[in-house]
Amino acid sequence: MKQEGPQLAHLLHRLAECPAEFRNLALDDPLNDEQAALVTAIIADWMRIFEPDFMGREINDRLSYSSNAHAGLLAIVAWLLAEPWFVAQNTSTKSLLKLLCNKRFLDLSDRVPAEMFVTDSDRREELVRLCLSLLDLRPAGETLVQSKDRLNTLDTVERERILKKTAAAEKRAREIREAMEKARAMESASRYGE
Amino acid sequence: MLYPEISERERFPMLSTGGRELLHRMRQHPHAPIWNWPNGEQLNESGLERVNCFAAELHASQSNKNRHFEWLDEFTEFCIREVPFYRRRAEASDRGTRFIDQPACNRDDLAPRVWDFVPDTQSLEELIVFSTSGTTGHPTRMLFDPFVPACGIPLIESVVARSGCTLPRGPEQVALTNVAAYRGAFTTAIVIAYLQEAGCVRVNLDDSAWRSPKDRELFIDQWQAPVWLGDPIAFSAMEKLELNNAPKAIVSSIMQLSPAYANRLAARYGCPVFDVYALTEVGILGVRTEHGHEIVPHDVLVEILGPDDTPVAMGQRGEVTVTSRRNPFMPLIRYRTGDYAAAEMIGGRVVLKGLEGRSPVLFPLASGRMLHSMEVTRLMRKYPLQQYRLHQEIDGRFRFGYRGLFDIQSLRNDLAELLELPAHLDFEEIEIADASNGKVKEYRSALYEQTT
Repeated sequence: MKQEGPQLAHLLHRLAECPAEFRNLALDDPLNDEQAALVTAIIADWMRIFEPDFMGREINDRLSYSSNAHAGLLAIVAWLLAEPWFVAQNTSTKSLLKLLCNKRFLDLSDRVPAEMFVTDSDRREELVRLCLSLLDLRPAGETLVQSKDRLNTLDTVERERILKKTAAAEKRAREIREAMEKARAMESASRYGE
Repeated sequence: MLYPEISERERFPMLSTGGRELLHRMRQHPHAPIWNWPNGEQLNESGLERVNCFAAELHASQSNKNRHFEWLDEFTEFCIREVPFYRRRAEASDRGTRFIDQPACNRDDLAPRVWDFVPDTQSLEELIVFSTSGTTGHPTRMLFDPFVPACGIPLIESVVARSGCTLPRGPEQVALTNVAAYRGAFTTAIVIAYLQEAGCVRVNLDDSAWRSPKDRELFIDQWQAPVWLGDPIAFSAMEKLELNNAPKAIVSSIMQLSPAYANRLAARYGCPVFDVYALTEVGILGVRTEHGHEIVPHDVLVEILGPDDTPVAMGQRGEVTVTSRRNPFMPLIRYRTGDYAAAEMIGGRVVLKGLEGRSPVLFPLASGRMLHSMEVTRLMRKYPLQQYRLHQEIDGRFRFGYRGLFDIQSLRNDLAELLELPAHLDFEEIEIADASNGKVKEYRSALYEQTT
């Protein structure tokens, strides 16, 4: 997130206009070969915008889909990052492929229907900010702190982690309180001089 | 007060035949008091091993003038990783995990959510709970492992060893007579595992605790415990008894013992009198010497902090603050005690100068009975008070200050009954500004002060 990227609003607008053909890819699980092949073709076409000689087999070598939802989300990411700003920056296909391999997309696709990243404003912003951060970019006009803070606020996985942590903490506190009640109902041990 | 019974095996997990016999002799003695608290140390083998280990380290530290606290940073890291209170506080700051950078906490942090001080990985199997204390005006419940209060015996032994006194071992003798003197005080007879089952009796000198008034002398004389433990009011009641035996040492705690009264007791019984400074949170912390209160335990770091949580210069007055890892249920990092003193190094030891302890307070009632402040303390434990104080004016009227949400009417009724339905009992809320300004002077009787 060291460098400024494109305007956030511009990317949000682009994502909101993601065609239904992309959004509807992620409907059925488990993964089917036909959809996997289609997403691979989309990604290969996208890569060729950046590198006309890009070979599609590199995708098969490096990328695997865990589910239709996962594959569908990656297609939406490809749509988002086909934005001309990234092309103008000569972004390397290597870094884009590395981005797609990031486990965060798998985690997100396990928790949120891919279409939500287009239709829901918070999830849309989360996906835009996540993609930028994985490319070490932040939205134009934002400081590093602002940008990190906003991504943390929107972070679905982090929110779930906090909720789980809070639930675990509450469970532990309840267990201690119950143990305290039991101990109080018994006798206190002897103490000396306190 | 009724207590659900736990078994003798739970009270004394390692009881031997000899220990059982001593327990029987103490409890069934023809002049025994009315026992009302059938408790025990609840100490198992691993607990005893920890007490022995603590005692060995304490003993070794007596000859080593320089105490080392190299564990502080590791302990702080552990607390930030495992203890919800410290973890939350660390997450909200960028202070890091060095001990020296940590802020203080106090009873206002501990009392409302004591479970937040329990490490995530701490088993709840050995948990015991003490209600405390009234005597600071911040009542709460605190969590302990049974070995923690049991460390009180090596600490007492280390105090009385200053005069060459030792505690006996084995189930043939009683090592300690613990004395109280107020209505409703707990009475019990136990054996102490660390002393190889030497006995300890806790007696209440109030008339109501005995079948016959003469039983007091006969019972206490029977056991000839070398050490008496109590507070100045209890010793004052003890002085009224005609005993054939004197102790080898007297240890006064809970309330402040004036030097004049300490001298009188020493002259009366021909033995040294030790005034100890103790807190429920860490047990016995200091013993008064000619220079001030010398820190006794080797495993508690005592600092004097200013209002900004940084240590003040040596010799400067500030709040006594403790760091202790002894209690696995309540690790304490820079816990403000609410007591104020200045620290000095004398003979390689930290000594607290000008420590203001709590003075014993009696409230004269209409019937002529003197009400011990502990009776009020015990009543207050029934209510979820954050803080309270009870003051009696010269004209006998009472003013009760409080902070917290509870059934005021119910407390008003209970307190009025305890105070023998006084003509004036006013309730007033303690302002937060007052409450945060150190310890509230919880008990005071201008009427009693005037008569003494």
